[in-house]
Amino acid sequence: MAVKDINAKGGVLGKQLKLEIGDDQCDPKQAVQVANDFVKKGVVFVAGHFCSGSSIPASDIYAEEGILQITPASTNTKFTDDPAAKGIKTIFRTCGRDDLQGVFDGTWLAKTYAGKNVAILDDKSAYGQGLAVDTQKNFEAAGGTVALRDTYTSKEKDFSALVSKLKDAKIDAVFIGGYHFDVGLIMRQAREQGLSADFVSGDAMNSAELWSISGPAGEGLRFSDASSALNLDSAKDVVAAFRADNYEPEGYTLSTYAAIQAWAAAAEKAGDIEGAKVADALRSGPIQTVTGELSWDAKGDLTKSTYAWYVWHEGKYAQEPLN
Amino acid sequence: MLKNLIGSTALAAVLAIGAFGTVSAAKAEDLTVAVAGPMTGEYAAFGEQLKR
Repeated sequence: MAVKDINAKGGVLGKQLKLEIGDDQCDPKQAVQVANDFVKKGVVFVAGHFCSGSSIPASDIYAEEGILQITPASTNTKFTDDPAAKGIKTIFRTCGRDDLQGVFDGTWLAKTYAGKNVAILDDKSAYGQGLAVDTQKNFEAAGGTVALRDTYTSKEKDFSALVSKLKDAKIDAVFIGGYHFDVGLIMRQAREQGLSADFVSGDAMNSAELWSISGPAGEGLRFSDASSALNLDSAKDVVAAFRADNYEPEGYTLSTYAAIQAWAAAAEKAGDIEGAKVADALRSGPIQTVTGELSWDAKGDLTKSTYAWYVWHEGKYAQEPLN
Repeated sequence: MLKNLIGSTALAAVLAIGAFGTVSAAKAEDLTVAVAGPMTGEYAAFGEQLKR
């Protein structure tokens, strides 16, 4: 929709935008193939990728070719830290970072479950591990002690051994760094095995698909994510247009829209589509997007990220009020 | 011979127009931007969020 809306307003630098879609399946090797394919097709800007494990290897190719990249979803700190350390300036996000989300998650866990048994799990992915490590760090810094730290293999079908470990350790709360399809299954099998612990996770729980996997076992699942932009004035018209099209712009839809908007505005400001010039324009001042006014630091990270808790209830999730 | 020459010239002209037409449409008038993510597989629900 972002491309359609920009084209309707005259495009960028007087040119219409043509959209290419690349499917990486969250596989790092496929992400590199997608990136190389984009280079061959003359792509000047990429909004993506989704999984940190894909965004990071693809970013090497975009950086080498001077193609500006903005991920709307990849939160692993290495995505911007490593290129910035090499002097690369064409990599950005419109989402937060694991270390900031880890502060939000870890301090809340320590305060809420003081004196209780907390387990921290991850799926060994760049996203899941990154979030779990930063959450643990901040949980411990806030006085918490991890009762059980473990990993699991994503896309397994039987998590009964993991659930047994949680039961044996008398866990009261489980924090999981991972994706919804695994967390939904772990919760279902946990409830089937009589584990009543609370489940807490990160932003990858923001898909309606979670409930189709967990069923009612997903009740009460809590997850952290950026504060929703759905009710912002800046998003009002776009959200209405999505809903008129029978689509609820959940999860990363608006952060992707914002990424494309930001690139277009910066290209206009720079008067050029060259990646380095657009990057300078992005850093030169705030840009109005559907997710509000965005500014980026030297690394390409947002200068401000506000997190909120969301809780699943009867098949839907809703944001809790900000403190 | 003349018929063959006319035919060859016409064919070359058609090919040239076709080639330049395609190039000008793709390179001079458009800027190609991309969205990348998991459009198929177990993460596809997120790819759909990005693609929209």
